[in-house]
Amino acid sequence: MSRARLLTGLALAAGCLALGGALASVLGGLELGWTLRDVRYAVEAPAALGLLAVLPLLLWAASGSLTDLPPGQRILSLLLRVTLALVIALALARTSTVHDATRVSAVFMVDVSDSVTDQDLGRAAAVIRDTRASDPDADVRLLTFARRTRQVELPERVEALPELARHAEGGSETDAQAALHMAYGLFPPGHLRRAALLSDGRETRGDLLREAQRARRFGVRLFAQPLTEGSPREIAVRELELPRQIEVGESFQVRAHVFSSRPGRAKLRLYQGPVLNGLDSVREVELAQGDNEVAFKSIVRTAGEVAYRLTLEPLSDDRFPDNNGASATAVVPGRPTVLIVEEKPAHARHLASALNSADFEVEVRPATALPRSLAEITRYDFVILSDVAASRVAGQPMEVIERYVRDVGGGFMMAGGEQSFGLGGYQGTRMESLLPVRMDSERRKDEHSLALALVIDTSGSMSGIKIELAKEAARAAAELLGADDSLAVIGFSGQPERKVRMQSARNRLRIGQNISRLRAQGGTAIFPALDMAFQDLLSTRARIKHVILLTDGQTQEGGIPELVQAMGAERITVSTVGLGGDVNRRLLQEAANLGGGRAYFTSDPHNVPRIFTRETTTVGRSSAVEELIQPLPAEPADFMKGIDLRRAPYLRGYVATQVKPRPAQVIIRSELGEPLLARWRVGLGWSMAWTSDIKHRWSVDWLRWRELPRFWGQLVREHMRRKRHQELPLGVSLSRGVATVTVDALGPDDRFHNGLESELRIEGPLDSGARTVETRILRQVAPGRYEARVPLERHGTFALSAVHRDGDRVIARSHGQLSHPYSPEYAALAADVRLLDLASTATGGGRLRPGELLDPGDEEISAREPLWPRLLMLALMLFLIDLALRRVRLGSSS
Amino acid sequence: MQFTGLTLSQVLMTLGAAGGVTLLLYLLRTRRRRVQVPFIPLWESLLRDRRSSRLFQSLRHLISLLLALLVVALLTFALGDPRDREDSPDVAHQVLLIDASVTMGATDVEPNRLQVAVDQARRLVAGAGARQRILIAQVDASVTPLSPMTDDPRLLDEALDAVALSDSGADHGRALEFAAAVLAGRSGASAVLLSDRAEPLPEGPAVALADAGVDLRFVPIGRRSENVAISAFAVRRYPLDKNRSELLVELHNGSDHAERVELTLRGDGQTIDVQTLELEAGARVRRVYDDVTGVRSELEAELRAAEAGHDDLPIDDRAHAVVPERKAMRVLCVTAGNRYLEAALLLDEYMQVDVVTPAEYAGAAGYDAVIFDAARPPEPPTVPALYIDPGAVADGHTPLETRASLERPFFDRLRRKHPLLRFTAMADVNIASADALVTVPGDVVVAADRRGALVVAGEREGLRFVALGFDLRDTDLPLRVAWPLLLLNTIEWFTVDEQEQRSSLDVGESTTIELPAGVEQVTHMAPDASERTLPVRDGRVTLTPERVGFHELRWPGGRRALAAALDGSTLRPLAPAEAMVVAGRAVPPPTVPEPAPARPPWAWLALVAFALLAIEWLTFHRRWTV
Repeated sequence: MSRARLLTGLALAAGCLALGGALASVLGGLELGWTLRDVRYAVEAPAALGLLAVLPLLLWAASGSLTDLPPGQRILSLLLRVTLALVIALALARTSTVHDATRVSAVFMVDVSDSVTDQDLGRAAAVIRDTRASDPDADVRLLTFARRTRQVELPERVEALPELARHAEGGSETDAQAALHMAYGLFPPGHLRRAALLSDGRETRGDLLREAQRARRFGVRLFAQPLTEGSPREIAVRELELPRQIEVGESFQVRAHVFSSRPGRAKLRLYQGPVLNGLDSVREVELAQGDNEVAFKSIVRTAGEVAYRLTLEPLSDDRFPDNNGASATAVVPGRPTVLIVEEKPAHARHLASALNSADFEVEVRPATALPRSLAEITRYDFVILSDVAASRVAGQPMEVIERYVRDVGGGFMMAGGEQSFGLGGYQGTRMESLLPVRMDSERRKDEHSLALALVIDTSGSMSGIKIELAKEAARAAAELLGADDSLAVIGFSGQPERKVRMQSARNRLRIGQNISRLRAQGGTAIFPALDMAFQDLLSTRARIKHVILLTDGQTQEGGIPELVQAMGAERITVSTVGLGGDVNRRLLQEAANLGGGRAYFTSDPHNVPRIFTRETTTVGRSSAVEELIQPLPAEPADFMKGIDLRRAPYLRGYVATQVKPRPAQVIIRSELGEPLLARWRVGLGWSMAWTSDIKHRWSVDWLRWRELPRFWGQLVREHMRRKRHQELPLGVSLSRGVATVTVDALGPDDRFHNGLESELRIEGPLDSGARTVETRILRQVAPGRYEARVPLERHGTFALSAVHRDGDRVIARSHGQLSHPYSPEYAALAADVRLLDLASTATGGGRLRPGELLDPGDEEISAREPLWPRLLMLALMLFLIDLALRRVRLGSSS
Repeated sequence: MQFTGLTLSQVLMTLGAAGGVTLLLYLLRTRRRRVQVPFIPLWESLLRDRRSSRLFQSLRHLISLLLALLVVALLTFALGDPRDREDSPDVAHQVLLIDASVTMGATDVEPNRLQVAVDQARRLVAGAGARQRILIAQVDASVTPLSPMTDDPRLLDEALDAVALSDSGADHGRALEFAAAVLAGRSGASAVLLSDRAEPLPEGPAVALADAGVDLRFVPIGRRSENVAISAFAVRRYPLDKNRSELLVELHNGSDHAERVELTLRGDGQTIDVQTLELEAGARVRRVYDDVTGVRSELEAELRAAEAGHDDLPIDDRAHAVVPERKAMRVLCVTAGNRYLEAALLLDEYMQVDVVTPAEYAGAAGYDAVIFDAARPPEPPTVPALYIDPGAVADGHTPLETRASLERPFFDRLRRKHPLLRFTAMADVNIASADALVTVPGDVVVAADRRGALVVAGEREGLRFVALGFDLRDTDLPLRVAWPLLLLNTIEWFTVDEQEQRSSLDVGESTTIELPAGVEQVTHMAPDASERTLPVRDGRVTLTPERVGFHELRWPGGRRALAAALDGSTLRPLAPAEAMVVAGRAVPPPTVPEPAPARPPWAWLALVAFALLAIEWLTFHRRWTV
């Protein structure tokens, strides 16, 4: 070869290479296609056509050929070689035809979970065999699924039954959606996609219906073959239900909900903790077809968590043993707490002891330690106020008690004594509104007349609000007196002055006017005023004669104790009221003690009217009835069950009151018909009045009564608070292994609670040794609605509790329980044919019918058929022809 | 190795035939041309040349034959399409799981997270060798394989092109369980998850991966989180005054700095409120509209940055809700006169109430429910019925018998979860007297005194009933809010589904809707205006919305509007995960090999054949081969 020709060849080769590279990069981004004689062709990797850049080189080689061939043969050989190169390039460029195909690819998905019977699996295998036999060349695959999905090799022989083995890891779940996912990846391209689902439709995981709607978009048509061998004989425990609230020592019912597909018999055993339930443990029951409820009686003796477990022993056929049990757990709050407020705490020991033996925690406090806040009082479930004067409870404590009953639902009882009810000055107070009895008892026939002398300090230091309140107190006292009572009002400063001469209390108008004329001025001289009162009372005829002395000042006068003693000798009693910090407390106390009355000391002048009222009531009304009283039943009440009042001892006294109209109730009455025990509901709680006392004065015989603990225990238990916080309803639903917990927060005014910070606590499984606690935030999803979703991987009973806060304040709680005793696989008793039909029709499929699965019908799919095998075969043929052309000379040989 | 084109026997037959022809052709001698050359010295030169190249001439023939046979063999074997056997241990199998859930639409990376994930997947596919099979699947609320397990670059490319953003969240657990199922028993099994989230795996998927021996890798996608979202948007009717509704809007600022946003509220397409809000970093702000009575059906909220801020995820800047429907109900009240009952029935303007005396009662046809107050019908009614104090009369039909009268009963036991008691507080109701109701199996005791049932709900002959064992006038129940609630709850329980209708569904959440009798086909209109037909079965249709926005179901003579919203689980902070931890160990990223031309073996064979043919052509025409 000449040098020039060689160089030309090399240059041409370089140029072809560059041209080839350029062609490849340009063509690489294109999609080439053409239609020829109604056949569409596509070139999928056109970059390979860059190989055709070698053609100029072939041409150059042929032009300077040294072969001894005729020109015509040389040209023919060149054409053949060019064609050969083109054919191989087209093959490498992945040329294919695009046409509408009707080939069908079918994937069988067979449910092998525990809810499917062996007979159904046999039927399924037969269906697969028959389908394959109808078109042996069809592309058919097989998946089996339960919790997981597996691909199973089909037997080579079409007539053979496929092996549908259950999964080794168990079949306690059914996830048809996962099977469909796997099926998507098995369809070869260019085939119509068909899936056949052979199942009972009882899915426990995933969402087949949702997947079916998506399957339609992927061109998959689903056909369903329900596997329904008939409803198996099945007995299942659906749920074990406990009451929402269980109290220590209080019996309740545990309800077992049992389903039976056919009438049958079973033996139920209920365990409390590890042992059989004491009160009611074993039952042999006849079960009707459908749902049955069996109630067991139980009681909890100790606070804390209590677990119940029910086992069912079928006495007739039963398919799944896994669902023959259920458990439930409840948290029983500690012993109920009772607060007794007693002026002298030692006097409450008998009642406290009785309540202790009735399974209550009792705390006794003096009146000085009355709870002053709602937060403090809500620690108790029942509050007893025993013989504490109204002045001790005035103001905030009384308001707190009222709110405790009304808003929190607490139980409250006032117990009698000298300082209780009207005697304690509660008339007209908030407390009287709270109680079911009125303090103004009717006048008794034998009520004594009263002569009352009010000796009121009108010194200069009493000016202003003090004197006005003193006048108000005097007027109030006058109002309380009856027509045959007498009243005198003596004002004193340096000298005493009769403002109201001793006269009948019925002259109220004049008395009131005279009282209004009290003026404050001057010094303080008690003795003359007290003596004046003494003189007036001496000359007055009355069964009871009483003096109430009110002063705010110091006095160093002598003779007052002796004067009071003299008054006492004349059966005139004296009570003293010291107002402010400057009084001679010792003197006033001594005077009251000697005078057989009471001494009051207050720095708040507003208390004066109340004190006067109380004093007047105390002395004038004789509200205390002190004689032997046989308590008698009035209206029935649940807490009186088992208590025979006829065998109860006598009481030795009580405070006379009147019951208010209905809905107030008298449960126990005296022989005179006056209430001994009355009650009524106030808001969420109970308010009660026990007009006798609970200590050794009037109840001295009752304290020795054997039934005393039972009586008080049942009374308190019936009326004590049931819940500690507002309870918001908590709902929980379980679907496909995910629990959705919802709390509805609605206020009493039909308004939604928004903006709460709610935290959910899930503890469980309670009946396993591996319980865990998980917390989730309940997110607000709508007005008043808070929600959390919790995937559940384990079975058992879960305790749910939620705390709802508004800022830092806990305003409500929620409680609930989620029972997930076993996989829903075992709760399934009938095939969900509807789900299968819905899923299949959503994809344009339907029930699986013979021959329909592999029949394309009028469906077509765009399919590509690669041409490279044919092109390579053509290339081989062309090469052989080219070889032949070289070995045979065409034309003349000379 | 296996032949997936022509079978081995076919390949051998073809090779034998073509090789035989080639051999035969080379056995033939080319007929030479006769040329007269008069000059003797030329002959001598020629003969001299021939003697010196005799060996080369012999070898040239053999070499040419072998070259031809090689070309034939290459083409023949290419026809056999040889491949590694699927079960060969040298073949690796990989599942690429591409998260296409809603947060992958975030634009913190260009153009968005999903596209970045797809590009990463393309690099992995490009670097896959001939001995690697790959399956590509899209992960959102479920997992969708977009390709078979293949080494075909075209199919894998098409699969990557088909990955589309979803409006739902991602279920990684399900996706990894799918990968484990696909890879079970396969050699070199590995799975790569490309996602912006890395939630802790539940036990099931972790065990499945371990059992299948899958090597898990994680590719984190995403860079930052600057997003303000509407995290809650819902409307509810008040329980008692159902004519009024309350709307809740909650906004969340997931950025690390404060944002100023404009919130626009629209009702039935009209703007009803616009306000500008300042949101601190990480803050949630709620707005409650306590009366949206004017809106009949559709509510929409839209969020926009008030200033030139950046929001990485636009889809959560809009939310949709539909005011729950109210169905007009016709109720027949059979009573001799009970103002508490009649007054409570007047509270709901959607209830059309007709009152008749027991003597005038002639059946309840045409009504949705009937109330018998101290009355009994002569025959069981054909609609759901409420019986108040059925023990007051002796004659007539009642679903429950009554037994001994209870003095001063209380509601000691309340089934608070029952729809009848929704939003009621009845623990402290005072009742003077009541009849204990005798239940049969299947009846639900809604409220009871210790001595007997007082409120019972159940079914008789497929129709629901409720019985109250007391006269309202013997209680203080009519004086409480609980009474009209109990009454309205009862009517609703008779006539509608137990579940309170929500103003929006979560994307992917199915709902089933009862249709009027005779409807056989329903058309679903999606937010993107696409339509499709849904099948009707047993008078019901089931819809699973896959897109956020307003959906509509239409049938002859009716329609129903629905709204779909982002699943709350998707509305966690947008910040991308940096790593994934499984069983206490961080999941490493995959190694990304250099892109290699992925050709099947037959293509290489054909390419070599092509090269040999070109070379052979050149050598033939230079007479180096024959």
